[in-house]
Amino acid sequence: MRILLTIAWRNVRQQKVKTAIIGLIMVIGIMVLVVGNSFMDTAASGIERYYIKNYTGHLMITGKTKGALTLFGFQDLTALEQLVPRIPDYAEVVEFARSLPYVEAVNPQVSAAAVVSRGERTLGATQLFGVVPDQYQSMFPDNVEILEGGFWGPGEQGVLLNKAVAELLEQEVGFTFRPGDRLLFTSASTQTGMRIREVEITGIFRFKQSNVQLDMVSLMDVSNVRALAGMVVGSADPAELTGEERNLLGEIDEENLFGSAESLFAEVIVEEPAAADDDFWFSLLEGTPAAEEATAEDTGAWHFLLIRLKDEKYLKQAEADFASFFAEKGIAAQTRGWRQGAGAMAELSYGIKSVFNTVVLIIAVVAVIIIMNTLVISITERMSEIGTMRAIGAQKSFVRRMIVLETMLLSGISGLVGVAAGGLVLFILNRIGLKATNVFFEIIYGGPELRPTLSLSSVILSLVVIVAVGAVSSAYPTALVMRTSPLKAMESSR
Amino acid sequence: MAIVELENVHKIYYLGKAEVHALRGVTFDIERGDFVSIVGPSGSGKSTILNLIGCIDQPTSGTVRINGTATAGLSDRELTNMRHKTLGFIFQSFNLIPVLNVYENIEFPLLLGRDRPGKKEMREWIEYLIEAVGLADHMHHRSNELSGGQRQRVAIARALATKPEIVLADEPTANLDSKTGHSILELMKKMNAELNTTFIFSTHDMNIMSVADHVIRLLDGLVVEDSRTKAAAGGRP
Repeated sequence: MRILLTIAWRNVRQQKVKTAIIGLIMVIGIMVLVVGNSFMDTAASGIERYYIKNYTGHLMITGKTKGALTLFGFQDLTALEQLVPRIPDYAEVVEFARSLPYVEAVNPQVSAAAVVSRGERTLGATQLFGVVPDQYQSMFPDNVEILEGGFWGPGEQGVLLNKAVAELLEQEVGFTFRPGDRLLFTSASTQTGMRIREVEITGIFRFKQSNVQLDMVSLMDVSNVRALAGMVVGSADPAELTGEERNLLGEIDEENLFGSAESLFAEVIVEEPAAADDDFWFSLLEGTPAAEEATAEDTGAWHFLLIRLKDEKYLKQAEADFASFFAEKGIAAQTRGWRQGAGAMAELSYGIKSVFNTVVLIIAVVAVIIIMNTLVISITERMSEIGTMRAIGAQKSFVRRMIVLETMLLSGISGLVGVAAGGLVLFILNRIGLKATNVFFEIIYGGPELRPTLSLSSVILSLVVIVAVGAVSSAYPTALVMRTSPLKAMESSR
Repeated sequence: MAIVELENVHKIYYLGKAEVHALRGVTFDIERGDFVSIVGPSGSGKSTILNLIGCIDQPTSGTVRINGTATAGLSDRELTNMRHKTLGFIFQSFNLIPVLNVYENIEFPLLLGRDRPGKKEMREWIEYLIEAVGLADHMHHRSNELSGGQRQRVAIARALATKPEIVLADEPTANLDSKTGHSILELMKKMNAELNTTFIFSTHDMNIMSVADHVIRLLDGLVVEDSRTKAAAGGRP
């Protein structure tokens, strides 16, 4: 082994051009890998940390569905057609969650998207999280910075408008919104029709760590969000009629019925065309017990139950415990990880990492080809030397080990220099910080600024890549030597 | 018993569709301790015979035996072992390993085998060889710091490092001036006498072959003369 190391080391030093070419490729490649992966790891851990801490918790319980359900609703092609399912037997589920010793906090939420208008003027849109202020602040104590006003009080209604949303709306109206102003929120879906709520602004806030997706989120009382999401006890579903009732209806002249209805409601429709939603139809029943039932809020209806664990190590156990509980009780609910809950932004960040890894793979393949060619040239130049070694008694395995060791030595040194160079670049980037100048970078960074740090996983990955590149690069030149007889190798010296 | 036996050896090289008959039925024996010169003009088959005896090539037909073992049919590993344990090589172009110094070049073959001598014994033997070839002052020089004659001396010491029974030298003086070439031959002769190692060297220099005690003359792939002057060699004249 000593003689192998001696020959390998001296060859690496002696063959300056080869060493320079291969070394430079590897140093640059590893530096890019270390910086890129550390960069992505920092961003990913930042996204994970902030989402878990501020928006999603570790786990999200939802009603059972196959769609891409996030805290922002469905984020796939079914979005417009599918209602976010409510958690069945919510009281039992939340009781079970609170009984688990490793659960630190729980927070129920409902979600709806709404168009915001004032009078007849449409100003913009916002995503609404329907929350109970106490529970929300207990679960996410550090994520909200109140700029004006505050949350609505217990039993009250209101909206805490996101500053970013407010600024967009203000551009339309030309003045600044203040607590006490009222806005119309309209939601629409093919399932629930159009729903409108007029809600008072109780405060303006911003998320301390935000991104373009979270900038669209405002917080609203649960009651109004449930209404906008169509979560009421009564519904416009077809009534189940008895045979007798159907016979009775059959005797009614439909033309007279609708004719009289038109004449009866014509004035209302003309004056309030926008009100032809559930609220409007329910208003016709005003004062009757049926109206009370139809417009009553479904107080047990929640879309999401967010769960923060005392430690991330309980994640698998929690998922298993909830799965057993749902199966045992026959509850059609499921758990989802924070990444699913966080939706497009978190997924996009991870997607970008995959793209980066693909680029790294392509760079690695190119590096392998260049290094392999350089090694082939180098080996061809040394055929006589290798033939001599074989002639005086070196087995094929000795020659193979010598070539692999030389490549590995060169790769290893270049890799370490690459890691060191990458570490230096990261140190500088960490000190100066990278500001996200547009939405694209904000997504990649997982926030408005990124201070990347050298991650152990990127160093390990780099070393694995360098060993793999070294091994693959030396495979063909080694095979070339192994196929050459000592005689052929030595003929070059004659 | 002959240490090297060639029996009706043919060697044909195929160059595209053309056949080149390098050896056309060569038969001879070499006894242990012989100082053999294989002579003949270029293309007569000298190097081919050395390659066959050196186990780095195989005959097209016929038998080559080294120490009674036919080389045909041996695996690459077995042939390599034979080259390592039984044979030593001296090349026309010296073929030293450029990144190793004099000491390391001589040590190199000793480090290849599994049954190595002890460190102290190895060092003493290498130093003896270096002293014997007159390079004690150049022990830590690399080959590019040595003259042609000095390089060939290193090659001789390397060839003798594993104490082989046979040393093969392919035109060992071809790249040297006549004075240096003569001193190299003297050295080989000295080692032949001291260690009783069989030396087989090829040359087309008629002056050099006079040093040999067994001359095999080749012409167009055939042995045209096989003469011995060494009394102890016995066998054929």
